[in-house]
Amino acid sequence: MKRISPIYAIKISRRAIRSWQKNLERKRTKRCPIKWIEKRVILSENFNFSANYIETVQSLQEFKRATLSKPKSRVRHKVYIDLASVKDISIAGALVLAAEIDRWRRLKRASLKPRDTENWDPIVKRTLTSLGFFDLLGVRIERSANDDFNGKEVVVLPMVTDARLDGEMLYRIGEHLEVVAGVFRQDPTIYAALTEAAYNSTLHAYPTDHNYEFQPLWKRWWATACWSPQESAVRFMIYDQGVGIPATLPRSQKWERIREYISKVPLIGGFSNDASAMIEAAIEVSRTSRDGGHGKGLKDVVAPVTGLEGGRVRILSGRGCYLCYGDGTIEKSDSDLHIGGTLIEWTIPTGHAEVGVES
Amino acid sequence: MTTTINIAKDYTRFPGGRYPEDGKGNGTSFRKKFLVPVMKSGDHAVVILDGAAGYPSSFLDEAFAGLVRKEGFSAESVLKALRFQATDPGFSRFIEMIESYVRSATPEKETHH
Repeated sequence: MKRISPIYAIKISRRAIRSWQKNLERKRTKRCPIKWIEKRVILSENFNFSANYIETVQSLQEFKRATLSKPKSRVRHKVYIDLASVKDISIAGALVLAAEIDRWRRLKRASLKPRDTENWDPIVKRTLTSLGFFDLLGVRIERSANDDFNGKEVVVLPMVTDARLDGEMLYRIGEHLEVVAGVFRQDPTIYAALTEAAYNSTLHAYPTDHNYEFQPLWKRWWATACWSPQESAVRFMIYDQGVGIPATLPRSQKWERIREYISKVPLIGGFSNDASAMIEAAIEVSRTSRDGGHGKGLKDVVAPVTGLEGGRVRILSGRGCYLCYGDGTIEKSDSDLHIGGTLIEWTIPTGHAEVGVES
Repeated sequence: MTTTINIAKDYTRFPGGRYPEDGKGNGTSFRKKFLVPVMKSGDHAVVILDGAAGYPSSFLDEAFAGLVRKEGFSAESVLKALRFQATDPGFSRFIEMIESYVRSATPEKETHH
């Protein structure tokens, strides 16, 4: 009998064990094939953060759980999002939904197909088509004769997205809008606001040491704009899927001053529940700050509407909502549900874009 | 000698961000390429702000207040050496912002300017 060294004996025994384990695994696979489960996510009928915040965020959370949660072993999910149920969708809602679908597509490399599009509400379908929703899915949707713009509806520009600061891309949104809404002239504060918001997303929105419920697309932001001839207003909006402004503040260089500001204003609930107060504090500290360095960006965010009649900026971040009107009125509200990032929306009345920029 | 720096023509129409990794319109590169040589030579410069898409705070702070904070020049010498020109609608506010940032900046390191 051939003598072998103890080391070689160990080596071949390990190889045999591995081979045996592989065989067992293969047999188990044969007996328990992968189980496909269809998950149907029904989105809120009124997909709108202003009018129906709770249900809209709940349906987004259900969507994220269905698409981004890790399935159990040997189970795969076929996710079906029912958009036929949606009867009304705001542009901000459409942007956030498209961003979530973009995350799903990029992270899971999912091949997405729209279904039953003929049952979708025509205005919802047209809004999503204009936003570039179907381009995300790689699907070409033919517009029917009924889909023609009637001159009163909101005109939505295709969404743009990036994971770095691209000022030119953001400027082109406004330039595009100047062409669409002939009465609108983009002013430099809008560019500065959009650029600072995107910069904040790339720099602060996605801290690496945060425990994320759903994997983020690091540094990524999504932006679009629209024109409502009926409201005589244009809207710019930018969204990121980060932790939200309130959660990033303790890392800020100006945190001590923010805490000081918060301590002076009465809080409705506990400290951590007052997300809107924290957003307000961050803006006020940014606005009144005379020292150098970081933390000036939020001042730029409110600048386009400062002193502008009919102008408004809305910041939905974390669980807080902060609304600042051109006349200086501020509205704040808080919710139990986290929007899943930060959404900033500027409303600029058309024909007034150059008024009020000198503060 | 007075030189003219037209940000939109000589650098970028789309300024934004602080550091080189933030993209081609960042404040650090602008400061090092255009402002530091002027300050070091003891010359004067006219900085034309017109023609750009706009100026985010991060860019203005890093480019101009960075001369005080990171390059060690005094706020007085910066505001004496640089003159700003902005005639486009809405651009004069950026001059105010620059002056405010420069005046409130404090040096991060010891230098001999």
